[in-house]
Amino acid sequence: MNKEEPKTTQTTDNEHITQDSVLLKIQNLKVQFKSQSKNNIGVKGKVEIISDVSFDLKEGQILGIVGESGCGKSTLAKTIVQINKQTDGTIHFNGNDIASLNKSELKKLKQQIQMIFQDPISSLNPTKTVLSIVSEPYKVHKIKYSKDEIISLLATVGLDSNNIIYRKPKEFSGGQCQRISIARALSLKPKLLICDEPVSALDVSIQAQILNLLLQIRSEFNMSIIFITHDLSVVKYIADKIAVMYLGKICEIGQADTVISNPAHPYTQILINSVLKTTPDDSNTQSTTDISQGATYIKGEVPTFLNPPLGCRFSHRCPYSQPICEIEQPTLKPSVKDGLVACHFPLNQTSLANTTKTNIGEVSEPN
Amino acid sequence: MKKTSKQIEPNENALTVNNLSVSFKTERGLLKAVDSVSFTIPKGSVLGIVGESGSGKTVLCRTLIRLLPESNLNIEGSIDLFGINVTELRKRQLRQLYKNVASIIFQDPLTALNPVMKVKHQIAESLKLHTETSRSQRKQEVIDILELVGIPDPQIKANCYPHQLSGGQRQRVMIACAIASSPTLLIADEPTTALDTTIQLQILQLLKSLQKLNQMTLILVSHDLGVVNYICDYVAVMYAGKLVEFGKTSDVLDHPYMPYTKALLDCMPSLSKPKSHKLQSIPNSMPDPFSLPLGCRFAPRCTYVQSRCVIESPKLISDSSEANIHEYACFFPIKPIVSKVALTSQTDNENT
Amino acid sequence: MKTDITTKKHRTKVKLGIFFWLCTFWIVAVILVAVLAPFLPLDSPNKTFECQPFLAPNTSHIFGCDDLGRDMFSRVIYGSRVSMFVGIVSILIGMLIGGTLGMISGFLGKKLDTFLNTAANIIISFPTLIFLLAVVAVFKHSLIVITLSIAFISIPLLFRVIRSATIAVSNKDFIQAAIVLGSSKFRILFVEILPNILSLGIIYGCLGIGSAIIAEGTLAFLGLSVSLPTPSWGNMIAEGAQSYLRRDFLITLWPSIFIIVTVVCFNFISQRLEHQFNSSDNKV
Repeated sequence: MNKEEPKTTQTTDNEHITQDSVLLKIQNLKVQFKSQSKNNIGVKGKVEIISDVSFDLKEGQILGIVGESGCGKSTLAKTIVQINKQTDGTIHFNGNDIASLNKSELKKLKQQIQMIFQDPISSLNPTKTVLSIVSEPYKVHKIKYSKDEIISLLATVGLDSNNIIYRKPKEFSGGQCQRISIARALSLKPKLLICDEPVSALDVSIQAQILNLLLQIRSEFNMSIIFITHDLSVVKYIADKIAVMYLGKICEIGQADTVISNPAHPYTQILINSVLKTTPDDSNTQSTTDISQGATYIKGEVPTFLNPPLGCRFSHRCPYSQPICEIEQPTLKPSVKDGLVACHFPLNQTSLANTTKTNIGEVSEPN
Repeated sequence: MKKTSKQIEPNENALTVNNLSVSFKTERGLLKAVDSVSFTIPKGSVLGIVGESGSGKTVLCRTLIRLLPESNLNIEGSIDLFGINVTELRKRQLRQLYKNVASIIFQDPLTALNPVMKVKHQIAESLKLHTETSRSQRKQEVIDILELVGIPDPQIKANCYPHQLSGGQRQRVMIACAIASSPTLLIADEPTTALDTTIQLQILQLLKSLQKLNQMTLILVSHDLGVVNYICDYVAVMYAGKLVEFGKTSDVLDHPYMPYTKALLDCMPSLSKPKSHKLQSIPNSMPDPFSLPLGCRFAPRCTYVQSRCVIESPKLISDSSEANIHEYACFFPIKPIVSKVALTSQTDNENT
Repeated sequence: MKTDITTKKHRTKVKLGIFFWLCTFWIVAVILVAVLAPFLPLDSPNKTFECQPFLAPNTSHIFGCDDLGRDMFSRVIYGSRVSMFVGIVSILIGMLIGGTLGMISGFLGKKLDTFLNTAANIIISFPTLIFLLAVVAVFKHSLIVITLSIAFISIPLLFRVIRSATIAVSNKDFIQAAIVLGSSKFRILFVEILPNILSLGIIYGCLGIGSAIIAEGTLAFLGLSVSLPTPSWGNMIAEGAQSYLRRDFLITLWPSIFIIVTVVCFNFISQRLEHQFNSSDNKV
């Protein structure tokens, strides 16, 4: 496998980060599920939801994972917290290979990785009180706690009123429920917080509250956050680093500002262009007609995992598609400013483009 | 009824809503979901109704064509839709209205489409109601409409059931059903909320082009100012059942007068804002509809709140200084010139 | 960031209504009387010629007397002991076994679920009455045998209800959150899932008790429940209906009223509770 090369180049440093140690290292991760329906060869078999995903996450860093629905981003999150098991590849957390841990070690590890879900109402048990929800992690891991700790924890997430701990989730609004979820996730002071679309179900005014809360928590606890969303403008606001996923593969990863202002992958560019501007005088406004006319307008929809395209998975929708794109899978190659891009003909490449295009002879292993 | 709808007078306005209030009888008492809303939009325009959940935007848009179950409902005020007084229509006349004048698209096409009916039959159903054509003719029309809404391979997809289509395609089929009766008013209730941004763009472009093609009046309900900015000519901002700002989209979004509209704009993350720019969030949440604030409903969350806002409810006032309509419900609107006046009047209040 | 915690007000609970409390009162009264029957100042239910046969109701024998001069009131009370015991105990057993298996099966899924579900389907496809007849024919028709066989029939039905409820709850995000926390499967099952399906268990339990009472009554009517002269509502109806319906319909009427009223009460309570649980937002 020729996957070692990109990883060594991935020594991005971030201005927000004090420590430089890698907290989470994912290498060649693959997740397959058994499929109920047949693919186009007529074989009932496995579908690969995550194919060959590798990235690093440093302490205190926020990684945004963006992609359309069905690109495998939620599966990736669930694999990191071991709700799903990986088929192949490794996940190293704090230097430990998660797959090699036994049951009790894994339970211990789970103190350090926590997760927040999309639906704030459904992620809280309706029959329990706030106190019992937020203290559950302590009970599970048999750690002593006091009621004051719970109250101060709730104050951290902006619920500073001590008469709420005996209420039940149904008495709270969506935003408040999401705060309770965050309090529960924070209770064991995790090193990594995975947020699976935590603000998509919330109103915009509440969304901003939660985003600011997450940023505040990050600096307070020096936590790493993996923030999964389909909304590029949200990820631009919160993330230090952005990974763009398409059909189970990472097609571009790099510094948030660079990826947004200087996208290398056509798919990233299309995603950026599909974000609607809220005000007519937005500085980088492309007028609405430009989007519809230009090559940036995306046609068609995401193909299914059952029959992934042979070559570049985006080739069928890509406005810049060339013959080679349909037969050969591009691998992640260095792009501008320490970013990585999986494209035979990356955009916005000033000097790198010509040198990288030459070594596309190697093909990643077939599925 | 059929006659009146056919002979729509080419008057200027498509829709005039006057002092419309909608209230529900609930176990906790009367819930006023829409409170004295008035606005007018010209024919062939696109109106966006924005607001957070619970602002009454969905109730408002469904009341416009009386689509809500009316057993516990009380509607006051008047709705003038192409000269038809919608509030006074009987059940049979309403059916004529849906047949000939108005159509609606819902947020979730999977529940709005009949899961056991093939796509072509669902569209043919709407066609049958509207026109009297032969079977074979209708078959061709179905294919034409599917092609119009941008379904690839319409011949094949026409024989599919809704669950066999993707989310975007389902929404296209919904649109096809809605426009099959060639309505003059199309209401789209959060048509793109459940879709990805790339598909959202496709659907919005489709709606826009269909609207232009058929000279439809389009009312689009959304919580996303981006969607409204992209497609709408007019925007109505709702908050807790009240219309708080109304006007041309460019005016309202460029220079919002009402602090709520400004706050909504400020709390939307944007690709163009620099990373250091901190998002302004609106503190707290929407008031409980059963214990609404006495004065301005946004007052408890407003950063510009004055003592007058808490005790007196602002009326929708029109900005007479401009040629365009721009109405807002605020005592101290965010306007460079007017805010000075507001300040002086406020000090006057304090002196007295 | 300071947030004002204005939580939603409690939704005013839907009133259960006077009829619900009447039903509950009836059930509690019947259970109390059944349990305390030996200590109550009643005539012996089996003592013949306590009074004149076919005596009409009067102040000393308020339900009158049957063909053998036994006090009908006392027989109905003692009859309730059998009916209530069979109804409640069989459903408790059914709930304990069926409910537990349903929870485990629904939560763990996979092969165990397939196996248990198939087994439940097979048991459900037995014709109930013929199964009961067969069991009673093979074993003695004692109270325990009747109770256990009715419990056996209720297991797959309750299993199915609890299993599907468990699956619905298992798909909620808070279960995923619990997995991420590192909760054991046992803890998830009993701390997270159980409280959410308890209400459903109570609803179907009440409904089941009604059905179990009727099942016992049917067997007793066919003479296959507890052996005579021990009274049960079913065999009292049988006695009255088979021989003396024309002469004194009261012998049949009293136990019939008790069966009908008790079963209706259980069903009504179940229905009211279901409405109650659904209307409060507790429902998942």
